[in-house]
Amino acid sequence: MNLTNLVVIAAFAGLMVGFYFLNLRREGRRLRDIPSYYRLRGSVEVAVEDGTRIHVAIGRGDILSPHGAAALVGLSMLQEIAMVASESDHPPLATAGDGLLGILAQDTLRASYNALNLSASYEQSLGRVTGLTPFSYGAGVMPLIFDEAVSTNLLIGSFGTEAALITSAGERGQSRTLAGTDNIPGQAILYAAAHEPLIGEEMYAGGAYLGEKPMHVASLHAQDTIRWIAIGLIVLFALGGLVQGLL
Amino acid sequence: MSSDFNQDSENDIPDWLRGMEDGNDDAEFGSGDLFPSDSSDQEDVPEWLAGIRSTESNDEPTFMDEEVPDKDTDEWLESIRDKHQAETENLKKPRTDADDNDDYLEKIRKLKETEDSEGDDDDEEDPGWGSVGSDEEPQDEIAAAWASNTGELDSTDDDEEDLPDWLSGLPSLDPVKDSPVRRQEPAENEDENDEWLQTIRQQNRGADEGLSGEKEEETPAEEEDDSELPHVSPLSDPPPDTGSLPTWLENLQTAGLVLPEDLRDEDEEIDEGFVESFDYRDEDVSSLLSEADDLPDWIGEDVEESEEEEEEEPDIQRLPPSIPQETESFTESEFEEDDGEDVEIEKAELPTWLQAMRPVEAVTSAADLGDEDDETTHREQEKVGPLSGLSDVLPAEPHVVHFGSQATPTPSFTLSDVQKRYSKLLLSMVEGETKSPPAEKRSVALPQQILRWVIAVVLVLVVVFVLWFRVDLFGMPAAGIPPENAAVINTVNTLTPGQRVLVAFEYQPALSGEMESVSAAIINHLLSKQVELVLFSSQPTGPGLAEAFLQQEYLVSDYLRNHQYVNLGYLSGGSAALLNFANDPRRAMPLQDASGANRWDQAPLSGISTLKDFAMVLVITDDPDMARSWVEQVQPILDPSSDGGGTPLVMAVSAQAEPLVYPYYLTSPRQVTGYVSGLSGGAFYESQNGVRIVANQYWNAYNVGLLLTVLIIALGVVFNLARQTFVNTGREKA
Amino acid sequence: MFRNLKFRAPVATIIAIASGIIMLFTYIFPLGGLRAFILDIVVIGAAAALLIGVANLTGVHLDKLRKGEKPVNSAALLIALGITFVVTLLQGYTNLYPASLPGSQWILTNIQMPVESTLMGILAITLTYAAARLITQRPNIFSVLFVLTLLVTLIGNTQFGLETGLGQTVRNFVSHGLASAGARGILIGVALGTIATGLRVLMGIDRPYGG
Repeated sequence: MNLTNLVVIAAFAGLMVGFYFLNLRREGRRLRDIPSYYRLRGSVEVAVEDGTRIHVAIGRGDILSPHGAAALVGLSMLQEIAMVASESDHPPLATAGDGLLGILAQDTLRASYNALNLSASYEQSLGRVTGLTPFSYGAGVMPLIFDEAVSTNLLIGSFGTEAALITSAGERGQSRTLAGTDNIPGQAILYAAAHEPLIGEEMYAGGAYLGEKPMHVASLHAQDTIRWIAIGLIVLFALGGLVQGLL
Repeated sequence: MSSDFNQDSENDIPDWLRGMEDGNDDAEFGSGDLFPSDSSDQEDVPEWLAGIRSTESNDEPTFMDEEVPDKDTDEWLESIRDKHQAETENLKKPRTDADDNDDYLEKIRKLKETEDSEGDDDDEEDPGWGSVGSDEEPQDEIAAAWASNTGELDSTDDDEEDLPDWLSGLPSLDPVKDSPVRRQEPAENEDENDEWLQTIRQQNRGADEGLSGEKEEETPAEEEDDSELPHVSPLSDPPPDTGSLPTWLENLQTAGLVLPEDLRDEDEEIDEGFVESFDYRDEDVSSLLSEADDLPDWIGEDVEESEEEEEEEPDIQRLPPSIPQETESFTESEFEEDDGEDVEIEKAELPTWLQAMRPVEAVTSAADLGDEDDETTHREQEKVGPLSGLSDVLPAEPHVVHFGSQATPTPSFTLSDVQKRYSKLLLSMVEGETKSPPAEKRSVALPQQILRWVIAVVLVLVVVFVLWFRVDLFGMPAAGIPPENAAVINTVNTLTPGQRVLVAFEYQPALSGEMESVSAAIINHLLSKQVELVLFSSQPTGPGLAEAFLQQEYLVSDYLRNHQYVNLGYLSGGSAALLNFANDPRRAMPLQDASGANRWDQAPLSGISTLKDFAMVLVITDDPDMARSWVEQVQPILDPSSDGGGTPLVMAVSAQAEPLVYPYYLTSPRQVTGYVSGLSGGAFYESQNGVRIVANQYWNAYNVGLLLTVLIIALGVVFNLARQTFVNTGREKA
Repeated sequence: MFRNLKFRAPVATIIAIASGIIMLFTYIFPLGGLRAFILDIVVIGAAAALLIGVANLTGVHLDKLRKGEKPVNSAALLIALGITFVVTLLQGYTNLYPASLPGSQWILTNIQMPVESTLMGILAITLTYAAARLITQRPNIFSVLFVLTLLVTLIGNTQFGLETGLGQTVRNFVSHGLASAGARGILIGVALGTIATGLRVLMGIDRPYGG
C-alpha cells in the first residue's frame, strides 16, 4: 500500500477545497500577472470582431499518459474560447494529433455550441485530427493556418519539436501564437519561436486566467503551496546530505 | 372593389392630380372652395399642366369658364375655362365629325332625347354603381359626375357630334341613387349647377338609352332616382383615346371614378354644393349596388352586353371560391333583376396593385375554365359528401391533404419586373448578413521568405557538398569519452552469447537519422556479442523503423539478414501499457507462430516471464518523456531491490533528451546504467570500439553544419541589433 | 439516440469520476489484478482510438474534397491512405499480396521516413532563423542569455569544442547543470499541474468529455 501517494493526493485535494472556501471570503484573485493571457483575451476579441479564425492546437499528448493533463488543459481553454468566439463568421478550429483528443475536441465544441443554442451551426470538421505522428501532425497544421484565415494560434498541449513548424507557419501567416507545452525541448523551442510562450506550469493556469473559475484559482494556490513544501523539503534534504557528507 | 375608391384614394391619386389639390386659401372662387383643400399637397403646377395651359390656353373653353370669376388664376385653369366655353358653344353646333361614331355622348344624347319626352327627372337616376363591373363607356363616369351638378351641358342638344373631344371623352357620371350625393340632392344645388353639367346629364341618359337600344323600360332605379350617378368604370379598362381630351382627364378615366372633389383647384370657382354633392368619400357606397332594380336601362343593357363578352372570354377577374360570398353577391347578385333572371354583370376591373395581390387560384381557376357555355364550370362543384353536385359550397375536404407538418403557406403574388428586382435585392441583402465571407488567404512577408530561402540554400549546399565529396576536415573524437558512454560499453561487454536483449525502438521517423547514428554502434556491438535480439515498440511506427534500421547495409550480419531476431511488434496504450508489459510481457503481447503455437515458449523467448529475465534492456528514444516513462514504469521491475543488481537499463537518446536522462544516470543506485546521446556520443562509441559506421560518415558534415549554423545565428544577431539600433536612433532624431 | 437525453452529462460525469477514483485506488491499495484488467481495456481502447483518428482524418479530407477546398491535396492524401491501408492489410493478414511487390515496409522506408526527415531539416532552418531574430523580437536579458547559451552549446558539440575542452565544460555546466536542474524544476511544476488537473477531473470541475 503506497501511502505516500495517498497522502500527497489527499493533501492536494484538501488544499484545493480549503483555498476554494478561503477565496470565497476574500476579494480579489491574488494571482500573479501573466501578460500572455491578457493578450490572448484581446486577440480573441479582435478575431471575433474582424471575422478571422482562432486555431486551438491541443497537441499529440496521449490521454492515457501524464501528457494527458496538458491535453485536458487545452480542452478547457478550447471550451472557454468556443463560448466566446463560436458566433463569429469563422468559429474556432481545434486540431489534435491523437484520435482520442480529436474526439474530445469535437465533443467540447459541440457542448459549447449547444450551450450557446448554436447547434445548427456546429460542424464536425471544426475539431479534426491532422496527423498521427508528431511531425505529420505539424505538417497537417501548417497549411491549415494559411487556408483558414487564422489570426491567432493557441498551442496548449503536449508538443515536441514539431511546434517549431507550427509557429513558423503562424509567423509566416502573420498570425499571433500563444503556446505552452509540458515537453521540455518543446518549451525551449517555443520560447524562441512563439510570440507568447508559456513556460513551466503557466499553461496549467489557463483555466484560472481565462475562465476565472474559483476552483481553478484554488488549485493554483494549492500548487503554489505544494511547491513551497517541495522546495523546503529539497533544501532540507540537500542541507542534510551536505551536513552528512561533511560529517 | 372599384367602389372603394374612398380608400387609399390619396395614394392612388397621381401626382399631377395631387398637385391640383392646392391648399391655397385665397378662395378666389368665392366663399369657399368647391373642393376642400388638402394642405398637405402644396405642390407647384406640374409641367404637364403648364403645358396644357400653353397648348390649350386658346383652345376650347372649359365648362367652368362662365362661373369663374375674373381674378388671378393659373393659366392652365384659364385654358380649361376657355376650353369649356368653347365646348359649350360647340355643343350647340351641329356635329360634323363623322368619325365620332363611337362617341357615347352622342348616343346618350339621343337616348336622352327620347327620355325627355317622357319627362324624366334629370336629377334622379339609377345609381351608377350598377355599372360596376361594366366595361362599357368609361367615359361616362367622369362626364356624369360633372354633369350631375353643373348641368351646363345641354343634354337635349342634338348636336352630339359637336361635342368637344375632351367632353366626348368624358365618362358618364351617373350619380348613385343612395349615395351621399343624393343626400345633397343636385336639386338642392340646382340653382348653382352649371348648365353644361345638366346637359351632360341629359346626354348620358340619352346615350344610355341609345346604347341599350332595345331596352327602354324603366328600371326601378331609374324611376326613383333620375339623378345622374357616377358611373364607375372598370379600373382596368384603358380609357378610349379621345384625342382632344386633356391628359389629366384621360388619367382620371384610368384611375376609375374620380371624385369631383378630388379635382380641386382653388382657383376655380366651383360651387361648394357641387363638392358636397360628390363628397361621398367617407360614405358607404356598398348599398348603392344593392339596388339592382334601380339600374338605368342603359346600365342593364351594358351588363347584358358585358355578360355576352364574358362568355367569350375567361373571366380572369373572377373571385376565388375562398373569398366570402358576399363579395360575389356584391358584384353579381345585387344586380339580378327581380324577375329572377341572372344578370351577369361584368366584373370590375381591378387596379394593378390589387391585381398583384390576387391569389393564384383566382387566376388559375379562371384559366382552367373549360366549357365556356356551361355556367357550372365557372363554379367549383363539390364532389364528396352529402353536398356533392352542388356548387359554391364550402369544400368538404381540403384541396390538399397535409400529412405531418404543413408547409408554411406562401402567398403568390404577381409581381412586376420592378418589384421582382427589388425583392431580389432585398433578399440578397438579408442573405448577405447570414453568410460569412470566405476566409482570406494570408500572404507571407517577402523578406522573411527570402531570408529563410537564403539560410536553407546555404546550409543544404554546404552540407551536401561535404557529404557528397566525403570531405574530411575533422577527425573522429578519440579522447574524452563521456563516462555515460563508457558505461554502456562496459555493460554490453558483460553480455555473453545467447543472452536475450530487449531493444525498444521508441523514436519517430523524423529523427531516424540521428537515432540510427547514435544506436548503430551499440547494435553493432551487441551483434558482435552474439546476443539474441528481441524487438519491441510502443509507437505505431516503431516495428517498421526497427526493421528498416536492422536491414541497413552498414549492419553487416547474417543474423540480421536471416531475420533470426524476434520482433514483438507494437503495443498500444503508451506508458500505461509499459507497466503491464514489464510485469507480464506474455499476457501483454501474446505471440503465435504460423502454426499457432505460442511463440513465447520457443527460443529465444522461452523462459521469459518478466522483463527482468532479459539480460539487458536497450531503449532507443528521442523523447525525454518516453525515456522517463521507461525509467519510472519499467526500471522498478528490472531492479526490484534497487541495489543496482537487476537487469541494466541502457539508453540511446537524442541530444535534446540528455539533460533529462542524466539525473537518472547520476542517481545511486543508477536507474539508468548508461546512455549514449546525440551524434557525438555515437561518434565516441564508434571511436572507442574502433569501428566506423554511421556517425563517422556524418561527423564532418555534422561539424560543418554546426559551425555554419553558429555563424548564421551570430551574423543574424549582429545584423538585427545594428538595424534596431539604427532605427531607434532615427526615431530619436526624429 | 442518447445525444439529446438530458441525463447524458451527469452520467458521463459519474462514469468519469468513478473510473478515475477506482484507478487511483489501484495504485494506492494492492489491487494489481483490477489495475491490470482496467489497463487491458484501456490498451484496447487506445488502439481503437488510433483507428478513430484515422477515420477522423479521412472524414475531414473527404469533406474538403466534397467542398472543393484544395481537392488535389486531399485526394492525394486519401489515395495514399487507401493504398497503404490495403497493402498493409493484405500483406499482414493474407497471403494474397505478392512478396515481390513493395509492401508496407517499403512505403515506410522510402516514403514516410524521407518525408519526415525533410521536415526535420526544415525545422533546423526554422530554428536557425528564429534564433537569429530572437534578440530583436524579444529584447531582454533572457533572450541574450538564451542566444549565448545556444551558441556555446553548439560550438561545444563540434570537434573543436571536444578537443579544446569547451565541450566538456559545456556538458558539465550547461547540459548537466543548468539545463538539467531547470528541467527538473519545470518537471516538478508540470507534475503539480498534472495532479491539479487530474483532481479537477476527479471532482467533476473540469469535464472535457462535453458534459
